[in-house]
Amino acid sequence: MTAGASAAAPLELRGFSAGYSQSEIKVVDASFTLGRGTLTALVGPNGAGKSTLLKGILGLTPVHDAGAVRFFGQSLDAARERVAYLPQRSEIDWNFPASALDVVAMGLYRRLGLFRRVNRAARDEARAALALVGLEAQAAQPIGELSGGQRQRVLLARALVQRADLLLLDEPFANVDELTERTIARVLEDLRANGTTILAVHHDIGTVRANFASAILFNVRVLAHGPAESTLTDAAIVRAYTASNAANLSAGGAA
Amino acid sequence: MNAPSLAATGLGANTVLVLLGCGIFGALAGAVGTFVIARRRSLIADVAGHAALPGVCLAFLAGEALHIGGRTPWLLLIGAACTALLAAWFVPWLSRRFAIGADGATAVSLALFFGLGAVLLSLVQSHESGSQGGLRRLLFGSAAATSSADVKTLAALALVTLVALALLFKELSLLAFDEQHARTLGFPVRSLDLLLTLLLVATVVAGMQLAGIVLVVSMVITPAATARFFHGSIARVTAIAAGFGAASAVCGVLVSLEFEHLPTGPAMTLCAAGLFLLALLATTRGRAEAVQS
Repeated sequence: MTAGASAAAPLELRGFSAGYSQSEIKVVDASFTLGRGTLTALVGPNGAGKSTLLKGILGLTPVHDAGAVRFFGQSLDAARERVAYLPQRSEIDWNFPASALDVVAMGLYRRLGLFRRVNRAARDEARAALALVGLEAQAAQPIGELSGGQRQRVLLARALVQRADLLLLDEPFANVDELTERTIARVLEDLRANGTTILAVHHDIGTVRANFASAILFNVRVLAHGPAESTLTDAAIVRAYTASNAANLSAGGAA
Repeated sequence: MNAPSLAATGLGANTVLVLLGCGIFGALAGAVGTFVIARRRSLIADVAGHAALPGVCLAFLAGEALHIGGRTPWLLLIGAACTALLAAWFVPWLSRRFAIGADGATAVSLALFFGLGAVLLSLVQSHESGSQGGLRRLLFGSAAATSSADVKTLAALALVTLVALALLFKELSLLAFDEQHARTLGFPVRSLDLLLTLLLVATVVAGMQLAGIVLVVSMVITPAATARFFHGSIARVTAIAAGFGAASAVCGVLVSLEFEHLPTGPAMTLCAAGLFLLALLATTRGRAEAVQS
């Protein structure tokens, strides 16, 4: 085992790789450690493998090196209750017959346990999470009738009720209205201040500094990791956004 | 309105039992259908339903060969369940393994299983007891030819399946809505998927004698599709689907008992499709009015 402090890090990757098949590895040799109470943006161009990295970490991609990821010094299975994930909004079938409250309550299903029904306490908790993201009035509304920003906030509320210590968010700020952006930014900052560790995929390089203290510049592999100000220099961004994935792969082979 | 003429047919207690059994089957079919549709498994379900035919025929032939009687009910049910399960596994496997797309895999499997079933059925018909037992009725279903013992067995199977669905309602909802989320929460997604398939196959098997193998899956899909016109929670939509399923099944039986040569399956599915069209009309009209106002 490694030394105490790093073993207990909320998220630690050491030479992590992931992809959809052995011939399509989108994440190569990623290594980084996230400390407790940090809010980090995962930044990189389209197709850089940012979403694949998040999914791979959570074991959702067909190929992933589970042994190279530690959550609070443990395996994913051991730490599952401390980890929550927010998928991209577009990956969800919003025509599914469910109310906003139904969806948020799903975040509680693991804690409720097998065969147990969603009880009043769970509904109250889900309602409180909806209030946190400003959707208390929409609790009974079918998710199909919600706006894009409201849907995003419902997904955030679903992650909130899991009361996780590590949040992995895939594009929480993508195509949302201003109110939603402000709400999400506020909620994330509050969580961080209370010791939650947050890693969020963020594609808009212009707004990273406003919402995140630290950043990981990523294109197939980790190019830089540190405070957002000093990490996202013009030179580093140009390097990340112009380097083709193939070039990165071959350069990595030599490293 | 059908009651007086039904009493006149003299079916009495048996009719009530058949109606009850049909109602339970219809409710189960509608409830299971909600999840089948949400999980986008409608076409696979259709193949699985048709695939019950070769299983039934093989079970009949096996029963004859083993001298335990081809019409042994439990044997036919097991046969149907086996090939239906095989088909439910075969379609996704085919589509993963070969580049013919999900639709191609579905069409090929349907042809394969139902074609085999039709050939086996003609073999069964050549058996004396096969033609007497009216295995052909299994194609389109017949409430009139269903004995009260059969109905009790089917209703029991349907009730057990309904209880299993109710117990795992929460988990199946999660699976149907967001499989990835289910996985990150640590739920056994593969087992839940298998369970949904088992519930579907149990529904097909429970309903095939009443609704017929060709149309039994229509009773799973159509009421659930109708319920999608209604909004609200998963529980509400599932309950509406179950209600539509039960209503269509009962209406279908009443109609088919009224007209002697009308098989039960088509009558049921027409009732279900009628409800679907009504809901469709009401929705489009509602939308038009909303646009005007």
